[in-house]
Amino acid sequence: MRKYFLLFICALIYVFPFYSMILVALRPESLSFSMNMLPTYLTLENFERIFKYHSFGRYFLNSLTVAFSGAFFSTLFAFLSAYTFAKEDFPLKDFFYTLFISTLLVPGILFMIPQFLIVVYLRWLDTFWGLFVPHLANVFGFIFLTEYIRNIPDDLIHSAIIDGAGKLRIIFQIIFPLSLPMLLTIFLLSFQFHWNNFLWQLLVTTKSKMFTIPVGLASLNSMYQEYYGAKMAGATLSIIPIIILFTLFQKYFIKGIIKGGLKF
Amino acid sequence: MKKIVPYLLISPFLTLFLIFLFFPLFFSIYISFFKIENFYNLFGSLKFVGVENYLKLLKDPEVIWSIIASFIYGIFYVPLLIIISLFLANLLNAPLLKLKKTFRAIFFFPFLLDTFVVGIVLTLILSVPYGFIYKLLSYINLHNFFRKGFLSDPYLVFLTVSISIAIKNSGFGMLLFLAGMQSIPESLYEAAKIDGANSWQIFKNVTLPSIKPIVYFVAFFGFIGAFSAFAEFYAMTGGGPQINLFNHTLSETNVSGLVLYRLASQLRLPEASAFSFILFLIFIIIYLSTKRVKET
Repeated sequence: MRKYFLLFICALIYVFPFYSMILVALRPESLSFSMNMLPTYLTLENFERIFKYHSFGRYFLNSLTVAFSGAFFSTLFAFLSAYTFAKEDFPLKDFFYTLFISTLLVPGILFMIPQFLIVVYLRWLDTFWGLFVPHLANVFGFIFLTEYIRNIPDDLIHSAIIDGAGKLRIIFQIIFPLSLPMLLTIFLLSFQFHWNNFLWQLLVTTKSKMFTIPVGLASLNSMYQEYYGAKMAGATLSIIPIIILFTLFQKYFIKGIIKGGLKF
Repeated sequence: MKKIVPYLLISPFLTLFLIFLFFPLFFSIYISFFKIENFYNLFGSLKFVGVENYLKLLKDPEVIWSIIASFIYGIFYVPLLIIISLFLANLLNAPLLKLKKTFRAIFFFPFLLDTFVVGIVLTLILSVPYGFIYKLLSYINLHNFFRKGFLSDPYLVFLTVSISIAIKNSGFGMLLFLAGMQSIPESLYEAAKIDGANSWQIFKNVTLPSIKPIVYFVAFFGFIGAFSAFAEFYAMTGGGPQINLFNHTLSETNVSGLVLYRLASQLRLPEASAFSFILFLIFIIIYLSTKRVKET
């Protein structure tokens, strides 16, 4: 019984900030600090404001474009090369594999400056390319996929070759459906990564038309230090897609994180 | 022809890897000894300046303080992160627990969110004197200790940010600890219970020793996370509050992430690269020392 009580208190602490975020987002500014925590006096004026005067619709689409393209291409490229490393033989294979792994332990923030330099050099500031291309090489995903595909029996491939299937058919009609759970895990985690890639997005965007949601939120934050309604509406907007994905695919998120964590 | 196909398949990944991960690592160190005269003609306009960028950084009290501030943050944050994750995992580690999956989802979910967004949300409930927590404390007359504000009192600010972010990220450690705990054979727990051990003794003598490697892993990642911290301070403190130290006015929570961002956004990239390299050396020291602790 005591255990449930503790769990319940903890759950309350974890949920409360998000509950009050949604509440303040849906209330008039004057009630931001009301201690009445019941969902009353609700209005959509904060959402109207951020869509009308701060183009959060545009930011939302930008975020979606960046996260979706980032997740799609990084999963696709990791998949193609994972298949090759798992099932093909070619010169320098071990060398490349070690090379990939060697960068895993380097914290992401150390890549930031040189990547930024390349983006400036390529004149990719304020473009979609600049927002997601530098983070497309998903080494983590590549390694998980390689191990996953390695466990797919070779017999399946051999019999497909006997039936006269070409390489692309083997990859997309045999390997692809069999590695779908792993591909989904990697797609989701990389979508989450690109959706949350705040520091990078802040660095490579200067024009408001290229802002993503968190960058838009940052500019809102510097405009309205003491006004919370609009900020909370923006925050709610940024959290909703992750809530949806997490409730739909909880299993894949949790599996991916445990696998990634226990690997080291 | 056949020999080319594997290379074709890996080429997109390999190209991106080489351009955006492998090359930058070395180029960053290289460029930290140069001055850039024209960004659009990057390779033609480099001027060798030796260790000048490093000297400039090491002479700047703000930069030195940012490294110390990151350490302070790590020292608060890492133990909190481990304790909270262990606490949650231990609560959830009961085979017959009802709603286990729901609780696990609730505790894990904030980890998936953007630190900056969570930081903005937290400034709402942490604000003084109107925020929820301050008002709650005033009901039990404890608010006087926090009158200066959770995020603007120099003595409180690191603690506040550490607790908040440790709670946010605890789901990660919790999942790993839970996975580790589930591999401990049930018979060990039963034997301890028969010997009359209470739940704290069971935790200390049965659970903890078997998940020790995971504790080191979470500590290592916690330290890396604390040292790369940017968004939490950008959202919650903006670098403040101001403090006076050794005759310098410094922004207390102006951590290395903030300094790195500022250098980059002012396009002082060789200096930023030099600072990245200094951080890299610190990461290696952290890595070696956790490895050392692990082995003894």
